[in-house]
Amino acid sequence: MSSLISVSGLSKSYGSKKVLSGVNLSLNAGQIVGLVGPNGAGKTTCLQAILGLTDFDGDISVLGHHPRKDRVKMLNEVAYISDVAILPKWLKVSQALSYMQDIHPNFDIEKAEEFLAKTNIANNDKVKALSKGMVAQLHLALILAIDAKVLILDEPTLGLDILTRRQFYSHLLEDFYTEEKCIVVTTHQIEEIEHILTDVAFIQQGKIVLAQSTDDIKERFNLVAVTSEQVPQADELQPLFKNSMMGLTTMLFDSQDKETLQGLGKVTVPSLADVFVGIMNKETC
Amino acid sequence: MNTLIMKASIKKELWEFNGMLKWVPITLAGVFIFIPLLAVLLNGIDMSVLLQELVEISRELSRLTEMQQTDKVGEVFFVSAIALFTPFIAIGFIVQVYYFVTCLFDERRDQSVMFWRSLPVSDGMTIACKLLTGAVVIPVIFFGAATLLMLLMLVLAVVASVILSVGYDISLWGWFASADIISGIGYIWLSLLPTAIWLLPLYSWLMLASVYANKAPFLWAVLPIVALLVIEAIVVHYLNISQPFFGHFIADYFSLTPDNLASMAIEQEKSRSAALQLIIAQIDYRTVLVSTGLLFAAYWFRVNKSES
Repeated sequence: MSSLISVSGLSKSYGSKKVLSGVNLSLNAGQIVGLVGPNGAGKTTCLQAILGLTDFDGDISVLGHHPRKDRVKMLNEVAYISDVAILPKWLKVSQALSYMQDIHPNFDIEKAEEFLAKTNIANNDKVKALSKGMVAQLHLALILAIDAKVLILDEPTLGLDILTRRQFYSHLLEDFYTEEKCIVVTTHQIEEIEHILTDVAFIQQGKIVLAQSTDDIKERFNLVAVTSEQVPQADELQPLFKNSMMGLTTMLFDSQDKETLQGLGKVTVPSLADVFVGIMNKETC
Repeated sequence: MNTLIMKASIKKELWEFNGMLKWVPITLAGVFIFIPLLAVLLNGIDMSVLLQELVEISRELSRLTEMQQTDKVGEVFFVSAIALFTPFIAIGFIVQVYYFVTCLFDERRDQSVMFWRSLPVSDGMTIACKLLTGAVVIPVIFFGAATLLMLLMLVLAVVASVILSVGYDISLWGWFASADIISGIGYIWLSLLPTAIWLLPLYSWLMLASVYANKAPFLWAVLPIVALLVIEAIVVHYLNISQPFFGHFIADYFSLTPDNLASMAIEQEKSRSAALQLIIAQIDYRTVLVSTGLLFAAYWFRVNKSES
């Protein structure tokens, strides 16, 4: 697999506050990577560094380009949706399409119009007249019509209702994703996109604490419903996380023998949200 | 590709400020057209009396010798053209200042800067297009509106001449020939680019304030200059320095004094080129140095200022 994005030793500080510290990532074609972390973990800064929108220490290569030095060339093949509704209010849909066609060598206006035809957005509408969900749809139409190799999404569905969120991700898979492309997405609603992710990277206090394929994660971690009699025995195996409710304790284990765990209780495959909570609470357990 | 991007970027600026750039010149032209009409209607002026007066004036004018016509008519036309263009230039300048102060600030305020910067358009190109729009395209729009109004008035003058010629046997056609219309309007249009270059330091400063300010960009554009002038004035006063450097620099660079204009007009055979000569004379190394420094600073902030 060819590496589309390579991040090595990425660090970034705002004054004395260290936001990113020695981040290493390698993203390949065909991957849909979830960059997941709590608020203030450094997700947006990491994405902005990858896009050349902020200066940084370390090495980043996106499709062989340096994000700061070759930003324009890089952006011909990289598309980005940020975490805020950032289309300007004065812009008309027709103007957005016309502008994109003029400035973007890889923009296919027919594809965007085809996508918009499936929505309630009219060509003459202004952004300020659209609902938040419609603005997201318009932005998605503009981005999906770019023949980009890398798509970066920073909380793209923030503030949208569940129907629009689901629509957003289903369009993403149907209209954009191919084996030659790579998608990086940050979201707080990890359970909603868990099924589309091929890989995840958990980021905490500016450091990547776990970066693995979702298949490997499901192999590596186990969730065990431990009965109260077995809790002392299970504690000896040093669970990442434990949660007691109504006399039943749920524990998350990292790289433990499955047969041993089955002796403690019912073993299930944890969701990515479970693993995320477990990893983030590791030190407090 | 670069030309296409430049055109698209300027088009984008015109879309963004569409209301202001369309309606201000139209309103101004409307004022010129409708105020005289309203005055006639509201004051109940008798049209036949007005026509009679026009006929009398035209008769007097047609009696002027050819020599008198050539000398005076061109000058009268040029002064009339200047009088017509002046409000458009003045209002256009206010619009320019507003544009420069907000052009880099508004996109950060509504966070659309993240969208624009996610597209393959360089920051250098963005700054250049915004500068070109503010310094050249906006004046072109206002000059164009004034020119169209002038043409409309000329059409009305032609119609009046036809009526006078056919109905009253008064010929004013010689006036059109000696009015030097194209040359008169041409001189005004010729001043557009030199003015843009002369005012480049001001435009660059306003762009810098626009890209730097997190709030109230107009205050950021004005207050540092005022503060600097006040501090310098205090320092000059207490240290008994002969004259303030910064204050003198600004006053000297931006002043087109009537004295200079008058002497230039005498030196030049025709006064119409005097203003143009004066503007060109103001452009020097200071224009290049200050503009380059300020534009680079605006570019640097656009590239490096964190928006999130």
